[in-house]
Amino acid sequence: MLSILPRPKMARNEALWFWLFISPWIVGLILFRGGPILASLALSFTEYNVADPPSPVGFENYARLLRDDIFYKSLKVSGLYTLMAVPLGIVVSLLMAMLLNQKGVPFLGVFRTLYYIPALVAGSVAVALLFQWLLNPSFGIINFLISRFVGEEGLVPLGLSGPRWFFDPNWVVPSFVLMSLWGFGGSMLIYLAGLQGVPTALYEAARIDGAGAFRRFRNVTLPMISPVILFTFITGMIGSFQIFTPAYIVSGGVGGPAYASMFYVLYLYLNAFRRYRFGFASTQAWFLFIIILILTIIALRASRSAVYYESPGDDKMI
Amino acid sequence: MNRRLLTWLGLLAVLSVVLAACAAPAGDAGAEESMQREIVWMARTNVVENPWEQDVAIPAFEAANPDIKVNLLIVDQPDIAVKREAMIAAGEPLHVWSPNWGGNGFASDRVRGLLHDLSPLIERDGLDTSVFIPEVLAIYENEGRQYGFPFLTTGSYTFYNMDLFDAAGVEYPPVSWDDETWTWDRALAIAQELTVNPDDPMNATYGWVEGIWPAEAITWLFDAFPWPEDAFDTGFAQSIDFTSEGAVKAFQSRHDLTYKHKVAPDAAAIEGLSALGGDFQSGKVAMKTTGGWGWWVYSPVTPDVEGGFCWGVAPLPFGAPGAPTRAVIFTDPWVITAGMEGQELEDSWTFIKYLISEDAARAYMQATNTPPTQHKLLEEWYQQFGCMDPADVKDVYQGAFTNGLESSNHLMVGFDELNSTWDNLLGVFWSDPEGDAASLLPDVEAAVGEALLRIAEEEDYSFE
Repeated sequence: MLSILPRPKMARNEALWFWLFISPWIVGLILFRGGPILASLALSFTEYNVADPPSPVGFENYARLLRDDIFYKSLKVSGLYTLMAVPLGIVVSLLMAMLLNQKGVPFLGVFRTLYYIPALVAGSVAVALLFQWLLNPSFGIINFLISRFVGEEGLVPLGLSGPRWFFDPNWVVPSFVLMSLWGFGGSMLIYLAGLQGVPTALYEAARIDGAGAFRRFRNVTLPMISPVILFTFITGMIGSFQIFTPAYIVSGGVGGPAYASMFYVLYLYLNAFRRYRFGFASTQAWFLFIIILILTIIALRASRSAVYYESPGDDKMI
Repeated sequence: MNRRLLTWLGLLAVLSVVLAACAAPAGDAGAEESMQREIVWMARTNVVENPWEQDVAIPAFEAANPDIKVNLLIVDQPDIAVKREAMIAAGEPLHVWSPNWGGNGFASDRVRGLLHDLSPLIERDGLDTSVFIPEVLAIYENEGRQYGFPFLTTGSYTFYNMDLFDAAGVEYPPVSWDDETWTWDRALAIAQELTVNPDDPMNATYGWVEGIWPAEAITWLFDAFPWPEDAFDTGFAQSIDFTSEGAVKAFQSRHDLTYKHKVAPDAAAIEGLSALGGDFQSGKVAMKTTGGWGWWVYSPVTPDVEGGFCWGVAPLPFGAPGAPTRAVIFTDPWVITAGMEGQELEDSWTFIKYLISEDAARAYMQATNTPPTQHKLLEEWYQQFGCMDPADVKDVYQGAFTNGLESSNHLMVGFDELNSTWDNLLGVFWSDPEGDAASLLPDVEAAVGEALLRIAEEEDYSFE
């Protein structure tokens, strides 16, 4: 019934202004994102080394990717990193957000700012260099502190001593995970907003029902912020698969030792810009897109019963 | 709404008029600028080279050629190949550059057809190429085509801290590359004498940092050159030999310096020392075997500066008696992008001719301390090292060229992938105290062999 009525003039004006103001972004998206995206899809079916025009090779790049050992190694490294960094990042961010959501803590605003500041430079060259230095097995402060606690020879008889971090293939991914925690401030801020949106009446009702702190967290806080957790999980997963700068800096662009820091996007970069295999690298990019798409769909499907949306239809917003 | 829209459009028009009024007046200077043709010169970020490029080379060239403006594009060395590829892909102008900074190097760029053949221009202008050291010039000649002019060249050497030698009363290494007493074992004995506290990196002085690059070149010292005979001519190889007795001994000997003899820092300690301003420059390293960039990288280290010291240069030691090829030679050339023609090519060529002129080459040498590629300038360069006798500098510098070959990173197609492959697999070995070269190297050999075949296939190269 409403749909056949003429739209009020104000609404039409508003729509016009909306399109006017949004148009630079839309034009930019189509030209600077949409164009390259389509170009990379086309290039993925070609052999292209910049010097010569692209020559079509059909699905050869895709077949070659599946035969490439380093591709699987890079997938494993990025997958392992995602598996470790995303859950750990969520736990740390949420814990920090809860700490900074306390009432009656003096200088709370200052603490929130201080804990957020490192996130501004997370994933940067500066942080990679910083952690390279902190985790240096010979000169780094982390191993220095460990040696203070367990002694130079390690904790006898467990043999526990400072790891060799970026120099030991088994410790490379955990080292990058540790580095990723530097940027917990971004998610922390989102959780903080989520926590502040939980109605206090729910906590009061739970308290009256005799729920302790842990029950209140499990039965009130977690369900109420579950859409936020899902959001940070999905964005964190996408970001983790795309990690590049720290791996490039720490490994000097080699991805070593023993391909332990050959993250997926680093390998893609090496193929494109060091080895001039732009067609092959485009294939890698599309493969990554497909992987992330599948994982995102799985996460959204799996979350249906676990995520609580206060208003019906909120789940459509993600 | 229409009125509001008209107001906005009016404001936009006024803004355009104001901006146009603020633009630079099209006076004589503007007209003169518009008459200038522009060429783009790509250089690497470097604290000594960049001031020379900006304050010496370009002003001098533009004064002599007022109709040509040189647009200097400085890029960090690890990113320079990426930037170059992006520019070429986008069709952006790029005229003069050097192919060996980052990326795959000269051989790949030649095979991919990115380099302009300068031979017709040399012939047309009757350019005297005899001023160059012939072997050095020949590196950038292929099948009768001259692709570039070298502007610096150096071998690989043993750099040593004279003050540490003097304090321990140890005799300096020789300067002659023919001195067969200068062996790996003798260098090791000296390193053992000079090493102090090797297990405490914070307070250690190390006798020897072995840093020959690329990693495969350690085998050269042990008379186990790993490449097929024609590999450096063609840029391609079907395999690499890392499992010969000499190659295994070479890699194991280097490993033993750290874990068996404890005269060398491990990879982590080297990274730490490097972050402190450089391992050799820290004064905590008695000898370092490495590429000849030490000549200019270490040149700020003199007894006159705080923490400075006197340093000398010796040949690389013999790993096996009579090893004919020990030094890796690094020569960087200036090239012009292929496909250039007409005035653009002429301007680029004019600039190249300026860069290789005696005056410009001398100014570059004096500003950077880099070894020149022209006979005449070498005698002047030998005088630049206060702690060493010029005659000794000459002996040791020149000896590398009769005992060496140009680096594989300049001559092998697809070098980046080769380097990444062996660096990845050797990386674990260098950090593992129990590392055994004999069991590791077959895997490295196989992986590099696969990469070599893949590269040849990509470039449609036939080994027949």
